[in-house]
Amino acid sequence: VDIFPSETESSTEAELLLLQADLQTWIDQVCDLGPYSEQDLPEAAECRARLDAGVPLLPGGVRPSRAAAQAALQGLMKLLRRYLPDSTQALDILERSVAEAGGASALLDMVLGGRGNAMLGWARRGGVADDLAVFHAVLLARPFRTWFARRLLRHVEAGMWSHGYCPLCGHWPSLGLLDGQEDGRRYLWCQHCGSQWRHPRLRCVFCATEDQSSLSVYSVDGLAGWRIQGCGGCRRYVKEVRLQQRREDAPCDALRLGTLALDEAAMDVGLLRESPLIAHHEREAPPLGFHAPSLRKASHNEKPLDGPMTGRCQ
Amino acid sequence: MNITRRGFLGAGGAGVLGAAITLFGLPPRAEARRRKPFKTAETKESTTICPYCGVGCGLIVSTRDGKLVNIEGDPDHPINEGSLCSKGMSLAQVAVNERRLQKVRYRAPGSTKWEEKDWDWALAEIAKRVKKTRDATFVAKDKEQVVNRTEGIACLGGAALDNEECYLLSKFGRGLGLIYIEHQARI
Repeated sequence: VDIFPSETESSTEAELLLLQADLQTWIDQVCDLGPYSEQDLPEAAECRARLDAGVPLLPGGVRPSRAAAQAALQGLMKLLRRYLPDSTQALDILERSVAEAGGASALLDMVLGGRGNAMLGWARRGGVADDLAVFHAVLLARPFRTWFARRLLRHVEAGMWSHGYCPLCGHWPSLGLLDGQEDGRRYLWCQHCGSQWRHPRLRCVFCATEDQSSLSVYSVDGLAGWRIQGCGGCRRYVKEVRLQQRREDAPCDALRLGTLALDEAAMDVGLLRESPLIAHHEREAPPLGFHAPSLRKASHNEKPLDGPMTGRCQ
Repeated sequence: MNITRRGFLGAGGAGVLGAAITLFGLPPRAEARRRKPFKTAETKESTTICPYCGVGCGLIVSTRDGKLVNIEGDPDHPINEGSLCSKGMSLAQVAVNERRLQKVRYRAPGSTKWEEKDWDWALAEIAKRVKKTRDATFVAKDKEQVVNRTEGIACLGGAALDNEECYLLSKFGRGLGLIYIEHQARI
């Protein structure tokens, strides 16, 4: 593997890749359980209307099966316990709190329903640290969003989606992949559903400015091949890596987790990390069965949700 | 500052996930702020058009502290979609090239040696020779028609000249009476 920064210790690389493989196995297993039925999928025309209006494809208000939710929770807790051996007590509290709150289905209702504040309120009442709660919640929802991504992303044709937020779930990307095979085209990766989509290199992912004097690229000593694109206008950033060849199954989780130094470097230069709880469409996502003409076109410059618990982090 | 294991793993002993939770959580923990800043370099990227042939390929030019550090094809440009020919790919060497001549060098007719000259001498010599050739080959009239031209000099615009430089070169040539004015991009 030559995509991690050269300073990354081989034991760390091995751990990251093991984690990636285990995550993928867990996601596949939950998806194979069939958490939704095919009838939950929006029609092609509806997908087209959503994409034309800049609204992500993930339908709202659809609940996964209780069995799949419970299996996902069990699998995730097993995975977290394996990779967080020093956090047994925190994970015990987390597991107990989920059970007391009504189990995995109740938690997923909050997370998939875009109710980040409610989720954090639940975590605080149960004594779960905010950071662990967010990390856990984002991961728990991943297989369910991935199930839709695997069925709906085929509707996103080349050139159809030019927004910085995910065409499937509406979250902001966690990683940019510069594809060497395609002469440096940039693809963005969403940690919430695993989607990748193309986005112009010299456009801010978040505020969509194309003012080249506002956009900067930061490189960090010792992290060859990696960079941060930061926007002087909205102060947000995305980590990017140059790959010889981008693949749909690139180990993006491992890459993201293996380059935390870049996030810290971004904060050093005054950039802000977008909250993982913010999805672009949350305020305007229509319920399932919406009518396309009633959609308001999403605005690039619209401020994202910015509440006390879902705000950006510095 | 060298990147250490701590830079990748965050809190020691917590493993990769522990570090990620510390860093990506809300809000960031205080210890994440107590460290030396990383050494970063800021690069600006600008789009432009290749100065060579008439295809007009898009480029992304990277500069740091006002100095060129990289040129690559613009993958979002509709003409070349990131691809460049060998000349375009080596374009950075126009600006950054140790082998590029920095001083005027002159080899006299019949000589086998290059001499170093200053610009004042070179410009005066070029002007003298252009004037000599132009005067020797100047045609004021073709039959009864006033033409005021010289057929003894030709002008070939270089591919790296920009629009304004081409305009000035053309104006200059026509002022002398040149009719053989051409540009690399049309060849």
